[in-house]
Amino acid sequence: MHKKCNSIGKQFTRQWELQTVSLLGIGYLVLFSYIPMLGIILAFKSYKISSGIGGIFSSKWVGLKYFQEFVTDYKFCELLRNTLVLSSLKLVLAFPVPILLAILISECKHKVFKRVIQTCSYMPNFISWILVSGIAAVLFSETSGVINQLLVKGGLTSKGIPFLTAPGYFWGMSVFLSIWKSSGWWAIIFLAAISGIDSTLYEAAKVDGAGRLQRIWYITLPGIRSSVVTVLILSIGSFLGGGMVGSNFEQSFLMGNAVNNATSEIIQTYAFKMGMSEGRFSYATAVDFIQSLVSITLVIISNRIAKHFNEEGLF
Amino acid sequence: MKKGNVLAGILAAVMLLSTACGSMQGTSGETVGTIENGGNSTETENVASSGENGSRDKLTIFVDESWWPYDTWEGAVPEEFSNRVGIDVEIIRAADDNQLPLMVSSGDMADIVCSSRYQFMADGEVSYALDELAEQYPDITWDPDPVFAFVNQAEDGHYYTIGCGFSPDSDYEAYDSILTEGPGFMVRSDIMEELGLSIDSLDDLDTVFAAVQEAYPDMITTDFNCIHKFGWLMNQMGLKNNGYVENNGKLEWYLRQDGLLDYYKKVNEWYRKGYIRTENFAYTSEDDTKEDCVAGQAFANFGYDNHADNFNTAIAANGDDFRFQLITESIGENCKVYNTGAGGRGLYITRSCKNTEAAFRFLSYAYSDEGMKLLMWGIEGEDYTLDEQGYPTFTYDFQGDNSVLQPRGLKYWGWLVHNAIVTGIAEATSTSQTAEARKNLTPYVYRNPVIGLIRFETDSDEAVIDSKIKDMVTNQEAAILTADSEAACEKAFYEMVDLAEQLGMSKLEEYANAKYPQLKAEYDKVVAEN
Repeated sequence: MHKKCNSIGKQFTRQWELQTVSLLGIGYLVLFSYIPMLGIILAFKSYKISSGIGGIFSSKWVGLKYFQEFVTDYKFCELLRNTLVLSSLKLVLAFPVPILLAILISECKHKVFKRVIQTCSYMPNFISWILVSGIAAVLFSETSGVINQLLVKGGLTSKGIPFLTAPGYFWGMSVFLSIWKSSGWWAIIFLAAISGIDSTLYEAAKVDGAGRLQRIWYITLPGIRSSVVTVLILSIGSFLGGGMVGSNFEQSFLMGNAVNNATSEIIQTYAFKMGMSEGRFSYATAVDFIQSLVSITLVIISNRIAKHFNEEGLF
Repeated sequence: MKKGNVLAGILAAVMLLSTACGSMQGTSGETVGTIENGGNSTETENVASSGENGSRDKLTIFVDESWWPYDTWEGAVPEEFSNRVGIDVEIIRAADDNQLPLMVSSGDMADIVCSSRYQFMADGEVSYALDELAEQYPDITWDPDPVFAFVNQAEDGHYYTIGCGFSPDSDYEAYDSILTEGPGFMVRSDIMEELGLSIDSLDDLDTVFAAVQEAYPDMITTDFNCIHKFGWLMNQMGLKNNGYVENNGKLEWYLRQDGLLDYYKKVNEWYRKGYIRTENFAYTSEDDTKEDCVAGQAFANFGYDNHADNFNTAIAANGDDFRFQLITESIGENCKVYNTGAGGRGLYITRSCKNTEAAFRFLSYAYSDEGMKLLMWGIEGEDYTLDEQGYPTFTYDFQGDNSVLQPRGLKYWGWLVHNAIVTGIAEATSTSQTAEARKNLTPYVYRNPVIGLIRFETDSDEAVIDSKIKDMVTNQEAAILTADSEAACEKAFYEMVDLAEQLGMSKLEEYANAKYPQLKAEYDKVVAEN
């Protein structure tokens, strides 16, 4: 044992520069990710903001009071529905898009065109959601939006379509904007996976008479399977936040309003409102804690399913 | 490696030095000076205090209003105020509504916080009690009317601020003309004239909107302000838009008012006829409607009573010819204006304050008659003169655009601390549209500050119910007003009332009715003794 410790010590001394850097990373993780987790106890306490940070520990225990309050709230079903529908739509509709985009780009033979498409598709990722919501307002505003003006002037509709205000359009707009913003960025991962596939496989398939679609189906897709599974598990882990394309909170917060509230308010924005604006930190923590539990359960289930079918998983 | 060590040493030394300098700045600001003000006197007795080395005290003030027009303590007026009290001020304007709760919970607050969120701030763990500071600093004059102390009193018996917008009845008696401000409604005067229209009753609004929509189909028939909404219409219909309403000596939640459904039906009818756009319900900034109006895109606007004058200044600055005309007469048969507040936003000296003496000195002067008038009206002799009755005449446009007011820092700093009188008499002699509307509205005012004294403790059952009902109403109102038919509007209205009932509206009423008689008796006693 003593010998082992000595050897670890020697190894550490030998690699001290690298170890210091990794320790900084670990320290960062502990400080900003693990220590704040202590705050979860707020969900079980009656915390008043006036009691400050010390109040986290000194407040009275109230058990599951706030959990009960949330699940019996008149908005609970609506919030849960909005969160699940928005997240499911993003998972089902947004997840395949980067894969398709990556395959299309990799199949493109014209180098300049390929680069232009790749650059244009991932550039929106660098635009913040506040700007995207501004762009959406300019494009889709009911009265002054470019799209609606084109529709009205083109005689396709008699008056503007309330894309940004009618509750019925919110989910569609959110998914559409998420795909536009994030697909190009995520396609990079799949493009990297595709570039790692042995090119001789394609040559051999060509010799055997395989067409382009067959090569994609039998070589490209199996070749990127592990990347797809990894990204899928990560997406399911953050399912309630919008999955791979994320941004449920930002979209609901920025594009939600009193008129489309019936479809735009989700658990995250509700928790934010209760915690930050109303100062009900305990209740907000309980609401978020429920969401975290659902997310962890989903990660475990999806990982097991992935292992069962593919013998591949994250843990 | 040695070079690296030397560099690290230099960096560490620089950091230490800058930290030391920072802490020295902090202590140098703690110089003690005293000031006496005349309370309600108008004579300047103040002596600016400064530190031993001539440096002045410095305070930070957090303004918990993200829309606040000013974000720096600059201009002749704030500078004059600083000179009189010997305190420099650094302003931190809230980025959003969420900043204050975070500040309070972290315990890292500005020296002074200006906020209307009494439930967060009026707490001994968050702020210093002003009555205790008055005992601690006897050299600083602090002698507010006992009514102020009573209406601002927290559960613990202390008071932590003096909420603005309120004055005791005795102060009202001192002036013949005190105007009440409130929501307003304005229309484009050029179009009214062109189409030969006039508004003499609420029914005329339908005629006017229909005529304008026909003549100007591409124009927004009417906008409404996201904060004040259709408050003017509610006033004209004799309705209250929040809190409790007194009915036969009992308090009821405003959702039970007779006539509320008629109000919703009327606005919904306008929406269905296309006079109001869906997008307007999504506006979150007052600037949105101002932009529509100033750009000439909107014919009418439901907003505040000073918006017409304010917008006209901006329109004139743009070089445009059209103007907005405020509907200054009361045209509703049941017109009633509820004034049930006991004070809104106020200044709180926080537990993070590093120099409580300077902060208390600041409040002492800001809440004095002289300090209030300085911040609200400007410098006497330069910005205004007083007539024999004490009414001001301004050398500038008091309802003017910010571009007029901001260079001297006029008016808006006064909003941090003003009482009802300073704003109420400001335009008593003015002939502006705003003043005319206020004069006409004043006879319809129903004043009952005791209702405003029914406050809910943070996270109490009542506070939770109140917050949930408010949130529900915000969303449900949009559904009512944008309903496809009158039947759908009515159905959504009754759903809203049912939901409010489920959320505990009756509990709020029980709570209020249990407190109201005692509070009323105490208030009457304090007023009588004063």
